[in-house]
Amino acid sequence: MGVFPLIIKDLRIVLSDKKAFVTLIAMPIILFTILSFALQGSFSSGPDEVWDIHIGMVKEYDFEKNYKEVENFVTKDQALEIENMIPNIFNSQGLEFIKYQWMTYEEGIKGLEDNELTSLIVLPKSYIRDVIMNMSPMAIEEIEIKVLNNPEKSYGSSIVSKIVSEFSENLSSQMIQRKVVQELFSEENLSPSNFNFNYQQESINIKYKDESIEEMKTVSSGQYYSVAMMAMFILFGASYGSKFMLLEKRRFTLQRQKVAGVSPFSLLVGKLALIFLVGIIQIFAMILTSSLGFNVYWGNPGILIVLVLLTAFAVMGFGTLLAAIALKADSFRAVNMMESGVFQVIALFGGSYFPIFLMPDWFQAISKVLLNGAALNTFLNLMMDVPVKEMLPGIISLLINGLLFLGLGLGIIYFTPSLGVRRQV
Amino acid sequence: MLEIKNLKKSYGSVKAVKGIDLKLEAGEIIGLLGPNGAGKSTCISMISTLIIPDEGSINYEGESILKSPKAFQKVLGVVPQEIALYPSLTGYENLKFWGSAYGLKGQSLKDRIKDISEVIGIHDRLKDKVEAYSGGMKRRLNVGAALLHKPKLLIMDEPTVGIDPQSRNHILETIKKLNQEGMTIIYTSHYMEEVDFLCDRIYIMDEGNVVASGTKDELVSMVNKDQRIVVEFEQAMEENCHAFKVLEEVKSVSCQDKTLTLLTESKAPLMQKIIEISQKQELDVISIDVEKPNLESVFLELTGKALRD
Repeated sequence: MGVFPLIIKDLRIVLSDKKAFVTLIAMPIILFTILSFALQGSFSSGPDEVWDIHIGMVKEYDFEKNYKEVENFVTKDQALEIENMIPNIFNSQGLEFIKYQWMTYEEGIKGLEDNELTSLIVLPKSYIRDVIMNMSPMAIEEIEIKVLNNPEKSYGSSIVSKIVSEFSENLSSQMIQRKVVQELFSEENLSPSNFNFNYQQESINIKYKDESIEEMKTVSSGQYYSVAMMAMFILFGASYGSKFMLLEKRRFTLQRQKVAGVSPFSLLVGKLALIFLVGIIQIFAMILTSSLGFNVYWGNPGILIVLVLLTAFAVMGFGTLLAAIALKADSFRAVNMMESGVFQVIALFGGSYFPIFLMPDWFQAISKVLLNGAALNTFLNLMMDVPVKEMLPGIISLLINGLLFLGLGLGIIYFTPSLGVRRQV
Repeated sequence: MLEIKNLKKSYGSVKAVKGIDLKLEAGEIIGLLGPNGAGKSTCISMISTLIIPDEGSINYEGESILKSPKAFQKVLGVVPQEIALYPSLTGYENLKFWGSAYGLKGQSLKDRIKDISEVIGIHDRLKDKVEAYSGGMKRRLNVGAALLHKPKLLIMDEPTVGIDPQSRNHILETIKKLNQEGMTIIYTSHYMEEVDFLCDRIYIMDEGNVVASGTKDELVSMVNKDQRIVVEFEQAMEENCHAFKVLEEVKSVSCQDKTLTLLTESKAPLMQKIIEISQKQELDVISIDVEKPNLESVFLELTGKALRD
C-alpha cells in the first residue's frame, strides 16, 4: 500500500471532524476578527501616522561649558555645526513630515504621555565635548543618545529610532576613520598642523532617504492579527496531527495496518503529510478569509506560497516531535499539557497576543527563534513588501525549526522499541 | 501449515507467554481458551507479526515469519479484539481502506466489498458512518475488514466480546461457513461455548502456558467423568437427606436447605428414582439440573479456577 491512500483516509477523517474544524480553522478566524478591531489603537491611526512625526529634542548639556573644554581643538562655529547635526537631518529635503522642537526633559515626557510627541531624543550632558574628543586618536568616550518612543505611535517612532540609529552608526564610523588616518599620519611623522579639525556635516552620510520612506509600508491591525492568530493556531494543528497518531494506536488501527503489511515508513510519511496538509489548510483558510473578507494584503503571491510551504514544513517538524512524545508516553496528557501551558507561552513570546514591535528587544529576539514568531515576522515582512534578503533570517529560522523538530521527533520514534519502527529479530 | 515452538514473551518482569508449542493444519479451526491475562492475545500478536517474541520460532509452511513477515502478512487476516475501525468514516470507506491496505484496488476491491458486506450482513448500511452502527454491526464489520483479501489463515482474537446474541450467532455461523470453505482459523475466547461450537482442537491456556490441548472429547476425558445432579425442592429437606443416600449409583450426597446435590457416573439412570423418593418424603420438586463434564470443568480441574475469573 502506498502513502496516498493513507493520506486520503486521514484527510477524510480530519475534514469530517467538526471539533477540529472549530478549533483549527474557525477559532483563529474569529479571534483575528475580534482582535484586529479591538486593538486597532495599538497600530495607531494606520499608515498616515508616519507622515506626521513630532519629535522633542532635549539638551542635557550646557553648550558653553562643553565648548570651553574643547576650544583648543575646534572653533565655536564648528562646535555649533556639531550641535546642529541631528536637527539638520530632520530639516533635510524629503523629511518635511518630521517636525522637531527643543524642550526640557519634563516637557518631553509630558508630550509623550499626552500622545503629542512621536519620540523624544535626549542628548547627554557632555554630548558636544564627547563628539569632538572622539575625533582625536586618544579619546574613547561613550556617547549615549536616548530615544524615548511613544508606543501609541509605533510606526512613526520606529522611523525616528532608525534615523537616530543610522546617525549614530555613521558618526561612529566617521570617528574611527579619523582615528585611523591620524594614527597613520603619526607613524609617518607628519606635522600635527595637518590634523585641523575639519568636520564636514555632509560627510556624515545618513542613508535614510525619502524614497525609502515612500516605499515603506506598514501593517494594519487586521494584517497583524491575521498572521498572529495563524501563527498561534498552527501549533494546535501540529498537536492535532500528533494526537491523531496516538489515537490510531489506541484504536488499534495502527497495529492493524502494520499487520496488513503497511510499512512503518509509509505510516510515518502518511502522518507527516497529514500534519503538513493540516498546516497548509489552516494557513490558506486564514489567508482567504482575511483577504476576501477583510481586504488584508498578504504580499507577493509567489513568495507567499513558498512561505506557506515553509511554515507548514516547520509545523510538520513540530508535530512530529509532539507525536513522538505522545507515542513514547502512550498518553494524550503530555500533548494536552503542552497545549494548555507551553503553547500559551510560545504564543505570547511569538507575538500572537501583543504586537511584537511594542515589546522590548530581548522579547523580540526570542520571538525570532520560535517557530510561530519566525512565521509571524516573515509573513509581516512579506506584507510590507520588504526585499527577500531581509526575510532571510525568518526563513532560515523556520527551516531550522522544522529540521530540528523533525530530527528529534524521528529520532525518538526510531529509537523507542515499543513503537516497532526498528524491527529486531 | 503453521508450527510454533517454545514461544516466549516478557514485558519487564512479567512473563506473558512462557514457552508455547502449537501446531495448526490447513483447514482446521483451533481454539485458544483461557481467562483474561492467560497470554492468548500476546500469543496472537506474535503470530500476527505485530510483536516479536523473545524466544522461539513461528514457521508458516516451513518459512520463518519472524525473518520474512511480508509474504505471511499477505495470506493472513487478523480480527483484533478491539474494534479497529474509523468511526467517522462510513462502512464502505472503512472496507475500501482496509482492502487497499491488503493491496486490493479497482473493480476487484469493489466486488470484494460487495461480497463481504453481504457475508457479514451490513450491505444495507454501508453508506452510514460506523459511529452510527450498533455494537454488533461494528463487530461484524471488524470481522469483514479482515476477510477482504481472502486470507488463507484467519486469526480472531475474541471477536464477539460485548455484543448481542443475534450478532454473536451471525459471527459464529460466518466463521463456521468460512472454515467449511477451506479457511484455516485460530480463534481465541474465554467463552467456553464458542470454542466448543467452533473448534476442532483446543489449547487451554493459563498464566502464559498451554495447560492442555486436544479435541473436546480428549480434554473432557482427562478429567473426572462424574456428573452432578442438582435438585431444588419447595421445602427445606436437610432432614430427608438420608433417604437419598440409599441410592446405589450415587457416589456422594449433600443437602443444604432446599437443595440436594448428587454425584454419580455420567450414564446412571437416576431421574425416576429421585422423583419416587421425593414423593415418598412428601417433597415437592421445583427443578432438576444435570451438569455433565465440559470444558469449564476441565479448566477448573486443571487450573483450580473458573474461565471467567
